[in-house]
Amino acid sequence: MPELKPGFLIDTTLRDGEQAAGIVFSAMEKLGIAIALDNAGITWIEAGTPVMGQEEAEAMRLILDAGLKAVAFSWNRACRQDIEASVACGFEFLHISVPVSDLHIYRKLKQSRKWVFDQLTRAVYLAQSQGCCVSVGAEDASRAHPDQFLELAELSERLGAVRIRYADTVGLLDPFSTRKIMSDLAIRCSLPIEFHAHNDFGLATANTVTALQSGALFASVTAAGIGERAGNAALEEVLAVMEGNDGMPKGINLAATQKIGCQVAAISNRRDIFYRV
Amino acid sequence: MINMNKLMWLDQTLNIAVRQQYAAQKLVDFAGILVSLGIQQAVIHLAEWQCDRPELAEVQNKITLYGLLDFAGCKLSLAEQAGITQMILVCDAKQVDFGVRLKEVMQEAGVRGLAVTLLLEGLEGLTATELSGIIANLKQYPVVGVIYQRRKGNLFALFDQITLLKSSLACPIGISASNAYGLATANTLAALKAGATQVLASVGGIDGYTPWEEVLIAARQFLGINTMLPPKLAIGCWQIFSMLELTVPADKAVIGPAIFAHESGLHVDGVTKAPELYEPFAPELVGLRRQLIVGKHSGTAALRTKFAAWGIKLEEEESKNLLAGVRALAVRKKTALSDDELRSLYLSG
Repeated sequence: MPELKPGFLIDTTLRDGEQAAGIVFSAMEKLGIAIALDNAGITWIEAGTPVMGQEEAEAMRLILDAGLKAVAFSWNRACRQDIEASVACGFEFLHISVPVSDLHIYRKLKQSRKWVFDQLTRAVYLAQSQGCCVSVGAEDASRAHPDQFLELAELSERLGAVRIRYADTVGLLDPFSTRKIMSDLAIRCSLPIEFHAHNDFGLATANTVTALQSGALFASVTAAGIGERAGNAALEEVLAVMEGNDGMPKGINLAATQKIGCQVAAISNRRDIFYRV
Repeated sequence: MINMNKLMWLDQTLNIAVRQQYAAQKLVDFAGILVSLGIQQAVIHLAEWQCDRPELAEVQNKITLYGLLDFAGCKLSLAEQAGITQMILVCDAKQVDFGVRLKEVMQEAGVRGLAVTLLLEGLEGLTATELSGIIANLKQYPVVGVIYQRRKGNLFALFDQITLLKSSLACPIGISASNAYGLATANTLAALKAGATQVLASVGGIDGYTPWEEVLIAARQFLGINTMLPPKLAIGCWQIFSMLELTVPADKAVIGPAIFAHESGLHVDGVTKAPELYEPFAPELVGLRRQLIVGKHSGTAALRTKFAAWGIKLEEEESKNLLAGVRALAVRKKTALSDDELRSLYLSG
């Protein structure tokens, strides 16, 4: 089973980052980014979504065969076809995402909370039966009641998941609400929490740093902050703040992550974080 | 709750045009765009203005100008030359001779009939006692405003310091946050929450200042401040970028041309059912429109929606086959597909 200790940053450039409208990495680019992240000292890499098809699956195999020190894992919905596609690529660590807010459960899935929990249970068992380790994602957690998040976290822990992601899916938190929620959840949640920010109001980096200071043990980031809509928290920016606070994780090369940010911005036709003149 | 009428924007964008030595008429046009966005005040750095000395009288007919000068070697005579009566003076409150210099400068400003706002640097990390000492000094002079210059540090500590400034001084308190670490909007919000009412910002965050449009929207969202939203917020901001010959970043929060573009299957399916599933606010609020993009991350729902709009009903099997073709082409092209490419892919299949 992969160690949960080293590093608190989970890079999702290759999954949530590439999911930004219009961005596509080639398989070789994905491999190059994964290797660069690994060399920079990043220990968790969300590599992609294998069920998306042949091209994605081939890129995933390249990354898994690269002998990275980091744990490369895949993103999955709680359904059989996603898990099977991940297992077929050779993933041993799977992230399985389910919505947790009423809005997402009733308006998007048009199902009940119990149905979501049943799907998750089946998906986790399937992954484990193939020898995989699992983390769970709570989509739209910031619009769910904290108790609804905790209910999902408790189920996830019972199922044997090792971590739960708190996703601020449409970027609706500010640092004050982030601190309030994370300091409460960090005490009450039995699983380590990963905070996942979005930048719709320009607050992704501030929220991420605040979450880490308030009890979240992990945070997801992307190089150059690429991602859905206005993007995610930027890897190199979060690290620059952490360094200023003397909270720089051991083994991470800040300069190397800044270089990755520039390169990712270039190959995704996005400008690097533009206010850094 | 904070009254919207008391929020005052101090624009830092117009000064970039001054620094680049734009002609006086162009500066007037520039100010016109700012005013159309609801920005009524702009800051001119007089040390930069004096290089080219553009005429500012007509600009001042559009927008209220504040002259900015460094405390050190402060040439207040420049204010008269520029025709400006409101000054923002930048000073390091921790310098040993701060009290002496403050006295001299306030005396000279009084003689020249200038209103003075102080932009204080070096307040980060001060204890409440140290900050109170500085406040006691400021209270001896008729300053019309005090602005906190923010570089880095803990934003909750900033909240406490602004609270102290606000409760000790009768004048309005402002915030000027550097965005070097991407924290400007968060810091500015913390200051507003603590009672600050003046915000130094630039449109789009150009030049590393606080992004004005982010604070505009975030103050509504998180502090309940009913800020005035101009009807064409995004386009107005794009005009400022264009005047400065800059490109708007596709994913710039609030105004980026691609922030309401959805491609991934999950998100397109979601916004088709209910936009709020994957949008923090309606695109129309900032004058943008939703776009559905077809590419590598698309699902069959997006294809069916797209073709239905063209009057073609895709069967389940048909959409799955088409999707495989779409993904392969998107990966080859390394970008999303245009409508034409999508149609020819369908016809060739």
